[in-house]
Amino acid sequence: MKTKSTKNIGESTKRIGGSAFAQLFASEPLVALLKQFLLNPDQTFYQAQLAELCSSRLYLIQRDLKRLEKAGVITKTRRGNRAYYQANRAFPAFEDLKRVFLKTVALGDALKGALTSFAGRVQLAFIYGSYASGHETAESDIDLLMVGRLSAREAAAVFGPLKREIGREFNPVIYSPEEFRLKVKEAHHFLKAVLKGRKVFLIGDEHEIERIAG
Amino acid sequence: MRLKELLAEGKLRRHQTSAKEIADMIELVDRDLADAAISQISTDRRFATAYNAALALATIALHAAGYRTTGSGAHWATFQVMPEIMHPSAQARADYLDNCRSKRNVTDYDRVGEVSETEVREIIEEVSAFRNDVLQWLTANHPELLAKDILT
Repeated sequence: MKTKSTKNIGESTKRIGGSAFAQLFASEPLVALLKQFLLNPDQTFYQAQLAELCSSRLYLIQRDLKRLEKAGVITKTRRGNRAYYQANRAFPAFEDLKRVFLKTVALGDALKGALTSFAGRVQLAFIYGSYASGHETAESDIDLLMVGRLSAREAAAVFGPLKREIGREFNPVIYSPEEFRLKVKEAHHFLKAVLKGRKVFLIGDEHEIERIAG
Repeated sequence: MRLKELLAEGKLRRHQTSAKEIADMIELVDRDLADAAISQISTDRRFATAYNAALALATIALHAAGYRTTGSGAHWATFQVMPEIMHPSAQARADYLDNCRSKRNVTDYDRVGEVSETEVREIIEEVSAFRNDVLQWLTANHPELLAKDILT
């Protein structure tokens, strides 16, 4: 079960905005690297680790690290005989670049990160609506459905800062497992449409929906 | 800081309120909270009604501080400056209410049946607590706006 949902996260994250936006970049590993650095600006990485994290070949990673270093987006330091790389916060457009990535290719990761604060309390979380189907515009809301034991107020406390950062409307819908089960059983019109539509899973998967709906 | 920015952008203007205006808005809040409690109507409508009460409460604070909104994004701007006007600790509530704003937009214009029972119960509780806090805040900061004899 665990591997399945983890796999889903990878796939879906790639799909969000990835299709169109990522094509602006010269290569796929370049996008993956930028995402890694911009979302973890205080962390240092070494080459083999980045190859693993970005699921890419080492020589491609080396090529794109050089590009990023040259552009001033990352810095390289040597310790012993190993080179370490880190995001360069002094890069004049660092915050802007980060925001661009948060709004596009890294949205799923950012949400997933926010959801870890509810570890164990949210059984199911997925994006639906225009974002999930890839028809989003600059004004589209991010529609997020969650099933678990949390209040909208708690969710707002976690998503509020993220929302301010990415400058997007955020629309979380929260169900308790009982209400979710009941509404699925009643074939509730809204939920029926959402469940039929495309989803980007952040926690759980289709099987988890069936399990909760029982 | 947000207040200054929004004033400069023309989203906010100076406004002179009165005890009468505040009293009218409190009456509106109480009407909406009572209506939102009617379980026979849809969760969507109850949610939107409770949200309306929340907006009125945030607007009371905004008016009392000497401002009003203009142009588009009025609801958004009202919640944006709420922590600055009332207290920084109001940020969590402002975030919550701003999410409610997004949800109300969806239920008013786009989709039916999105609001869950859980969410309606929560917003009514939140707004009732918010009402108490606003009245307390008025008593402490703008007691002149709570003059009872102006009520008609």
